[in-house]
Amino acid sequence: MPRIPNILLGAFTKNLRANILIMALVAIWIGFGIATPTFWSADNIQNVLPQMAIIAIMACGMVFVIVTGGIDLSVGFGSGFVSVVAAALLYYGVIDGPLQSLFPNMQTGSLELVTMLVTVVLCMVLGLLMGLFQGYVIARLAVPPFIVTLGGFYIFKSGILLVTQGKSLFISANDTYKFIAQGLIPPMGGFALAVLVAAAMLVRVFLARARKLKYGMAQGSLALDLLKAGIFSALVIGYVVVVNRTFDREADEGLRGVPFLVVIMGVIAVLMSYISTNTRLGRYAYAIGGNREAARLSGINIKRTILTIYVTMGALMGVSGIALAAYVGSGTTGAGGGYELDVIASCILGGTSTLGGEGTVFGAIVGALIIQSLSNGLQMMNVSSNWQYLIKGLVLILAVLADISMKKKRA
Amino acid sequence: MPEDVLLEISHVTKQFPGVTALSDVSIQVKRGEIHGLCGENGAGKSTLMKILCGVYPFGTYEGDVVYDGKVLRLGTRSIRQAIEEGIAIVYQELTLVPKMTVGENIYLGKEPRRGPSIDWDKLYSDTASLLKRFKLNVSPLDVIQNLGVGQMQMTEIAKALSESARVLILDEPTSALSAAEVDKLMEILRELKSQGVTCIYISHKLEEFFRITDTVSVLRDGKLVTTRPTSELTLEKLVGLMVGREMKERFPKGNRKPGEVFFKVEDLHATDPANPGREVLKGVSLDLRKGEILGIAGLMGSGRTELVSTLFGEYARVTKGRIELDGKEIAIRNARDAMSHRIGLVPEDRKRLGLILIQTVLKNMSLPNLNRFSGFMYIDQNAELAAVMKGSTSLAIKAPSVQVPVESLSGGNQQKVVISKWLMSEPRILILDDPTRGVDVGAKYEIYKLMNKLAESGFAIIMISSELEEVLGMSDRVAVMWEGRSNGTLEIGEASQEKIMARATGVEIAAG
Repeated sequence: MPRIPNILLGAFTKNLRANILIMALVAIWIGFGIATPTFWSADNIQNVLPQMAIIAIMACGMVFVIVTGGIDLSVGFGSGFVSVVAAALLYYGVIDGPLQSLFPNMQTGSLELVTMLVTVVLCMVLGLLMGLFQGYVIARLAVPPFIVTLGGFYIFKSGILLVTQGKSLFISANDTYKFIAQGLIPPMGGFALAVLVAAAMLVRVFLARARKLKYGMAQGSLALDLLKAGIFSALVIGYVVVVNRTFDREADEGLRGVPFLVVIMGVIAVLMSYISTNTRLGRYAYAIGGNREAARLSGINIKRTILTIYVTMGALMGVSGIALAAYVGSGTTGAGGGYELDVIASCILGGTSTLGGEGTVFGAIVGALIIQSLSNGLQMMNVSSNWQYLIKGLVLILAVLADISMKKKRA
Repeated sequence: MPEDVLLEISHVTKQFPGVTALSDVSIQVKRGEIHGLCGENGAGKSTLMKILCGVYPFGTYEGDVVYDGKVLRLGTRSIRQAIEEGIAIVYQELTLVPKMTVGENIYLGKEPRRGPSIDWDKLYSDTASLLKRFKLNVSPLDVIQNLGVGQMQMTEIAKALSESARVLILDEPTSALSAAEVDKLMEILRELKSQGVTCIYISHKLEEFFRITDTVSVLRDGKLVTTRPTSELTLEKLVGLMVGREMKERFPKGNRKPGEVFFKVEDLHATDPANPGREVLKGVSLDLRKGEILGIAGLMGSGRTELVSTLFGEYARVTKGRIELDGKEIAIRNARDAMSHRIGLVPEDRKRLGLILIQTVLKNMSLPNLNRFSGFMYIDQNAELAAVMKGSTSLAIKAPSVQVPVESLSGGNQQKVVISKWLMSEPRILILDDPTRGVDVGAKYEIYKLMNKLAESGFAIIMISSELEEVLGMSDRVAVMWEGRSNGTLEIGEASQEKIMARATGVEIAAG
C-alpha cells in the first residue's frame, strides 16, 4: 500500500513551508508537554490563546504592511496608547458620568454596556486616525515607513506617558468592558461555534472542488482534502472540549468556556486572510511588494493601496489596544512596549518575506502561536526570562535560516 | 589536444532535477579567436557559460573542461577561482553599483591597498591606463548612474579585463546598445583580439556573428548542433541550424487594412518628473490609424521610450502640446488615465516593468483587469480564471498551468503573458516597446503573427524597436525620433534602412 503515504508525502512537499511550520509548532507542543505536564492542562490552554491574541491580531495587519515592502515599528506603543486611552475613559468616568446625568434611570448593566460600546468606538476611531496619520505621511509624502513608524513609536510612547501621568489607571468600575478579553463564552455557545467552523470547512472543500471541476483543473485527492479539513475541525472541537472542561465534572462553572478574545482573533484572522486572497486590496498589496513598477504600470493606485493598508493596521492597533486594556484591567505606563517586535517576529516566522511580495495571514498566526508557546512553555519550566529572549532570538534566526537553505535546495 | 586550442569543453552533461540542460556537449575554442555561441532561449548557452565561470563548480556536471592543457577544477571558491584563472564574464544584466565611480566599480573587491587603507591614487591611475588601453571614452571618476547604457557596458568589460583575463565571455552584450555603440564594441573586441584575448560571444542578434566572430557553435535543446567557421555560414543557414528547420521569412505577411486616423499627438513636450529641468520630449507629432502598426524608430536616447511613457502617463510630465482621441483632447496623467482611454503598454523591460516574477501567470494576467471581476470585497475567481485561461490559450502560452510563477517560463512565453495581460483589457491602442527583446527566433515569429492578427482585427499598434529590420518588416508607417523630436513619418513603401538612419541622425530633417 504505497499509495496513501505517497499522497501524504506529495501534499506535504506541495506546501512545504506551511507544513514545516506546523510541524515545528507541534514539536514545540510535544516537547513542552513532556517537560512540564501542566503545559497541556486545561488551565494553561485556556490562558495561552488570549495572551497571544493581542499579538496575533496585529500580526494579521503587519503581514500586509511587510508584504508591500514596508514595516510598522509603532504598533507596540500604538496599541499601548489606545489601551491607556480606553483605561482613562473608564477610570475618569468620561463616558458613564455624562450618561448617568442624561439618563438617571438607566440600570447599572446597560450603563456599563453602553459605556463599553462607546469606549470601543472611540478607541477604534483613535486607532484608525493613528493609522491614517502614518499612512498619509508614508504614502502621500513618500517618507520611508521605517522612519515614519519609528517616529510613531516615540510619539505614541509620549502619548502613553501624557495620558497616564506616570500611574496605572485601573478599570475597576466596568466588568462588561473587561469581558472583551477576560470573558468566556458559555459552553453551549462554544460548541455551536465549533460545529459551525467544522461545517464551513467541509462546505469549503466541496465548493473548491466543484470550481476546479468546472474549469477542468486537477482536483487532487478528495480524501486528502477531507483529511485536512478534518484535522483542522478536530483541533477546533478538541480545543472547545478542553476549555469547556467537558471531561471535568468538578470544574467551577466560571472557568468553563472559550475566551471571547479568541473568537475575536479568529474572526479577524479569517477576515484578513480572506482580504489577502479574495479582494483587490490583497492582490494589489502582493503586486506592489512583488514589483512596484510593474504594479504601477498595471494601473494600480499605489498610494491609495498603501494608505489603506496602514489605516487597516491602525484599526487593528485599535482592536489590540482595546483588548489589552481589558486583558490587563488597567492602563499602564509601559503598555504595549516590545509588542511590535513580537508582531514582526510572528510574521517572519510565518514566512513573510522582508523583501515584500510574500507572506500569509495563516503563517503569521502560526508564527504568533510558536512565539507564544515558547514563552509560555519556558515560563512553565521556570526558565528565567534572562534566557527566554535568547531562545526566542535563536528560534527566529534558525527559522529564517532553514527557509533560506530550503529555497536554495529547490533552486 | 591541439596546440592552438585554449579551451576545450569535452562531453559536458549537466542535469537539473527533471531537465537535462546540456547533453554531451563538446566545443573547442582556439587561442585568440572570437567564438560565437548561438541558440534559442533554453538551448543551454547560459548553463554552459555558468560552468566555465564557476557558478556550477567542478563535480556538479559530467565531462571535463580542459583549459590551457589542464582539466579545470573549480572548487568551493569557484567563481573567484575562475577569475584568477583568467576567465572573465560580462553578464547580460549589468552588475555595476550605480552610485560608485567607474574606478571604484572596476576594482570593487580587489582595491589596491597601502597598509590597511585603500590606495586611491593607484586605483584611479590603474583605471585610467586600463581605459586607455581599450580606448574607452569614460573618465575613472565618472559616477556610473550618470553614464549611458553603452558606456556602462564598456565599463563592465573593462572590469572583466582588469585582472588580465585570457578568456572573455560576453553574454548578449549588445541587447541594450544603440547601433553606434555596437560599432564601438566591435572595435574594442577587435582590439582585444589583437592583444591576444580569446572571446566567447553570445548574442540573439545573428547579424553580429557575421561582423565579428571567427567560428560559430550552435546549440539546440542542450545539444551541440555544429561548430563551423563563420565564413561557411549565411544568416538563413544559421537560423535554420538554430531552430532545426529552414525559416523562409523572418516577418510573416499580414493582411492589414488601416482605417481612418483616430489618435493624434501634436507638438508634445514633456519633462522628467525626477528632474523637471530636463526636457525629454521636445516636440513630437504623430497620428495613428485604426488597424495599423506604426513603427517608431530612433537611436538610443532619441526619446522613443520617453514618448511611450508619456503616452501612458508615467515617468514623464507633459508641459506643452496636445493628445487627441476621437477628435477630443484627452489628458493622460498616469497609467489609470491611459487605461481608461483604453491604451495598453507592453514595456521594454518585462522583468523590471512588465511582470511580477514571483507571482503566477494567472495573477499577472488579471492584475490590470481585476476591476472587471471584482466588487468591493470579493473577486469572482471563477470569472477571472475563465478569462485568463481563454487568454492563455489564444496566445498559446506554453506553461504547465496558469498557476505556475512566471519566472519559471521562457523569455518568449513571459512576453506573451505581458501582451496577453493587456489584451484582456481590450485596448484600442496597444503600445509595444521593443516586444522581441531577448526573445528567441521562434517566439519572435509568433509575436509578429500575433501583432498582425491584432491589427487585422482593428487594434492600432505602436511598436518601438531598436532593430531596424523589425521596424521595416512589420510596420505600415515608420515615425522616426531624433533628439527628443519626431522627424517625420515615412510610408513603408518609401522607407529604407538608409532613409530611417538619415532621419534618426538628423542628417535629413522632415519638412514642416
